Amino acid sequence: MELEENYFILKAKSAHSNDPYAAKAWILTAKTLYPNNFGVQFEAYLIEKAANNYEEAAKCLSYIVMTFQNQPPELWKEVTQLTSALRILEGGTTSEQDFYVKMFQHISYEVQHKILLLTVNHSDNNLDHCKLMLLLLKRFPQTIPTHSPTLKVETFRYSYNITDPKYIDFNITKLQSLGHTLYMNVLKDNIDLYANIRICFEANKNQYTTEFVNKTISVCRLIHDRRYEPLLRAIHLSLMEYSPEFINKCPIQKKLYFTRMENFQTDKIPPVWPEASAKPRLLETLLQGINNHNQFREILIIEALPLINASPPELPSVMVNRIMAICFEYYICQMFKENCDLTTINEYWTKIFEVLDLCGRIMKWEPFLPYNRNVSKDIYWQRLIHIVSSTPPRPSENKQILFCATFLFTMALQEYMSSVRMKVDDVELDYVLVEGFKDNESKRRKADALLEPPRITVYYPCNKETPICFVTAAQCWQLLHSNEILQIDFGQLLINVPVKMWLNRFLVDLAVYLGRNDEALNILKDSKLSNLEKNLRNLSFTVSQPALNIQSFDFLMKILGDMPTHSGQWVKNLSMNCPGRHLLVLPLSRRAIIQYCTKILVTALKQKVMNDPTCTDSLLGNLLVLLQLDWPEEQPLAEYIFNIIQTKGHFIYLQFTNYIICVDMIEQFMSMWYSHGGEVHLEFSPAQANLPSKRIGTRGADKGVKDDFKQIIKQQILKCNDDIETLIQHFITQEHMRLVQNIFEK
Amino acid sequence: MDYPHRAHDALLRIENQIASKKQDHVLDLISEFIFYEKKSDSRKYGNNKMQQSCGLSLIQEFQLVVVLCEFYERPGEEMIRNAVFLSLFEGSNPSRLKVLTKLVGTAIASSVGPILSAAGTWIQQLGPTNIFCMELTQRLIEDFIVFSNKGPEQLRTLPSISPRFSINFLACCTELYLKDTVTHQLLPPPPPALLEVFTNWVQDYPTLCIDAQPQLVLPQGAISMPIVNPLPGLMRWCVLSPISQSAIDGSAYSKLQLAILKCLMQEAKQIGDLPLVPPINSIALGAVIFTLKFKASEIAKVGDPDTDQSMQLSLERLAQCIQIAIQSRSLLDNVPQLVCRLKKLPKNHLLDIVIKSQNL
Repeated sequence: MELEENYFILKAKSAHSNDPYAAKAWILTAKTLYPNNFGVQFEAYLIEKAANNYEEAAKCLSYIVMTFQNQPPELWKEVTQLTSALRILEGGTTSEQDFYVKMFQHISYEVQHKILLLTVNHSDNNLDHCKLMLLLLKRFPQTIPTHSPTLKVETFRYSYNITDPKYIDFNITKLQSLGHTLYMNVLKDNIDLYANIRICFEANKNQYTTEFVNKTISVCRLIHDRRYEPLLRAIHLSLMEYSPEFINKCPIQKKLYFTRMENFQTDKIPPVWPEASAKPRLLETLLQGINNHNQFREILIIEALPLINASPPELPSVMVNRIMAICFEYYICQMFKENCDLTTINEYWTKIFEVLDLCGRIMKWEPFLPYNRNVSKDIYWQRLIHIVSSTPPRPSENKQILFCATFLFTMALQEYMSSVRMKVDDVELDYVLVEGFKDNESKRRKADALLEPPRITVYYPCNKETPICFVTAAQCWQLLHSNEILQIDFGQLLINVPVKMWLNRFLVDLAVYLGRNDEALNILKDSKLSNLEKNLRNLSFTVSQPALNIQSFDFLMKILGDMPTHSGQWVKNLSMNCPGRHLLVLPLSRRAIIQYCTKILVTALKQKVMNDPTCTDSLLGNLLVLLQLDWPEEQPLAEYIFNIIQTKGHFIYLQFTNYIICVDMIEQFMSMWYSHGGEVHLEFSPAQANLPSKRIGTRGADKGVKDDFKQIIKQQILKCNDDIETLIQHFITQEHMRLVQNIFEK
Repeated sequence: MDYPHRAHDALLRIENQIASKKQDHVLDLISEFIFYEKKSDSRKYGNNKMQQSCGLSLIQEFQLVVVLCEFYERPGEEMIRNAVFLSLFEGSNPSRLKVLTKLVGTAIASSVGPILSAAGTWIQQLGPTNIFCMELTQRLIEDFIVFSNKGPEQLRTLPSISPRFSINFLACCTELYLKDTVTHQLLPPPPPALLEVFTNWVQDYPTLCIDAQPQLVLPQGAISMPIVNPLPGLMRWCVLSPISQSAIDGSAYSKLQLAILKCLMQEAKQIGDLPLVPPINSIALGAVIFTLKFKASEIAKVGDPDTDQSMQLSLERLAQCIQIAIQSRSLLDNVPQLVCRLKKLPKNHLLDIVIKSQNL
């Protein structure tokens, strides 16, 4: 039988050159004689293609694709040419490729999809297949949205339940078993009623909703396109519902179509639009391919996701979770690349949140918040808490909390990390979270204090949001560790994301925040923080202790020997009156550090003074020196000390000339010396000690003493503009042994 | 009163008469007031038929055409209009035929649907082989094809204006050309322009010849004649043209052949629940086969019909037509007998294949 077919093909080919009509007649005859012969059918296709008849060629090709299950090489060659023509962007096509594109548009969707399947089956290149699918979905959009509630309807809206067959007035005719064509009778002229038809299909309810949007109709075009048959039926049905004898003249082509009465059969309408499954299939292929090929990731995120954003299809939750995780990893990795400035980071976060929103819509989660850098992280946290409390958490199934918490954590942590390392006037300024001081001498127990959330003071120019960022991150961390499954999932998410360097720092800070000093110490040992930071933190741990110990003093000395170059600004509010703990985001600038160290010493010394007014002059004097740094903050304490001196009646402090430069203190001493008629014996220099007379009062005899004093005072006043910072640093360094004595002696 | 008004009044009266089913004086009215026919007394010749000669001048003929156009453009019942038309132009009067020709010609040129529809009814009722129909057709062809350049253009969209007229006109034309006569002389082929017009008709209106046509709307008591499908005639043209001596084949007939084949593959529309009449009947094909056989025997006298190119071409075309007609269920009756007759034709590969496929 092969010979017979070939006879026809030969005849057709030979006739083709001088008499194309005869050639077609031959092939037409052959098609009826040998409907299952590939050669004949393919020849018919070639003839139509040579004559540039898109529609006819489309019919032939569709028949071939649907009839012949094994693909002969000629067919495959045609299909390759077709698909490569489709891949070319608009405008760059040859006339032949143009033909392919136009022909493809006349092919019904199912056949289109089958052709694409051919490309997948023939090559192992899933990537090409995905790219092609994307191209198709973009270039030939089937304008069938899933239920879109915001469509503006100008005229009418109907819905028809297709499980209820009715008699309708239209004609379905079979056309070579490739589909149905619909003819609609047009009798009355009523153009007003017409509109562009938008069809909404709800698969679960088996309903077509037709909506008339504006006042021109393209029914005639729809009629020639087989893909829209079920639509037209639905349209017509809805028209019939409106008025039983309603049949309208199509205003565009002004043709008359004929109809007849027919029973409407529900099985002729496909239950699900074939297009509906194209998108999930594409996503699945992309996800599978990601393991092998990086390009799939970009195609998925950059091209495929925007495509489904407008009308997301139903997807299994596993797929959605995977998509979410992949997007997160991708964008965070992008953020860590060089040349990533703030605007780009904002963009990436916006995209991450958009994907979160998309996945949320698919999974029907309660919406989170959109990304906005200016919104405080606290607001996000409140929202997260709201979601956690309203939806019963089933972390094995519902990953919403996982994702929201992870994103919030990462976002907050990122901002925190960028805040604690700033550039101020070309100088890098770091910040460290340390324990602060408390004013109130409450007898509250430590445990009570821990129940209150710590108060964090932050200093300009550090971002005021920094504590909030940190606290949010800490809260998210705790939330993500509150449940085993969450913990595991969270760990998984973080594996592929380069936030490790942040995590070390964060964990130290977290330990500090939670008051878990031992934990923090352990982490500190392994961390890569600078010595200064380490020492500072070590020092800060002791602040929370009731009393200073020798070791912390060591730390203090080390710190003073390792000061940063940047001077910075003075900080205030080192000490606060708050119920819970007080923490500081301390800038690593000289002044701040000095203040901090000084404050520690002052606190220790103050304790001593308060408990025992009979403490040594040395102690009192040293304390006075230290108080100068934050003057006039500590004025009440200074006054207290002066009272003690007054009561004591004498005060020997040989370091006076070196270190007391505060004018107020000098004045106070002066008034003590002069006003009380020499009741208080002040000895500030060794020279004074050598004076023979220690009694005051003999006229003339103590003139020398008075003169000396004046001299000393005068000299000191000249020093009052000295740099207090250097002075104090110098003092502590020089006098540290005496300070140790002061603090630790009984 | 001048002629047009009189004719108009007469028409109205005739219409009323027909509507009220009083047929008595209609014909007389027509004869006297519309065609101004003088009755010549031929009783002495023993002739019962009244010979009438039309007494209209050329101008009056023209005016009559105008009046009739106006009359038919008024809305009216189709049955009455058909009845009027039939009454007007029944009978064997040649002068009336002249008027009819002019009327139909005008209707074609100005696309007056109702007149064409009535004319189509007239042709169908009389039958395409009726001498009057054939004469009308010939004159129309002369007017539109032979003596006119723009004629073909005007004819081109005729099927959309009046399918009934087009089909009947086609049927008449097929009777005029490339038909075998009693003396086995083939009638000459149609003029190329006409061929082109018909080819375009079959191409542009593929379902014209196969759609079910509504029955003729005739007054009560009249039996409406079935339509004669022109497709077998067109097929015959294609098949016989290669062996016709005076036909220049070229691709014109292949084009027509292809158009016919495609047309057969189309789906026809039905009216109501009546079954479709298959367009091809075996009798018409049988006639074609007969002609071919005769020609074959003629060729055999001087050469070999199995190798004669034109004969082979004819046979191939025939085979194609038959194959597709059977495949598309356009030919349903007496297929086995037909196939048997095919076997008696000269050898042709395609024909053999078709015969074989039918025997399976």
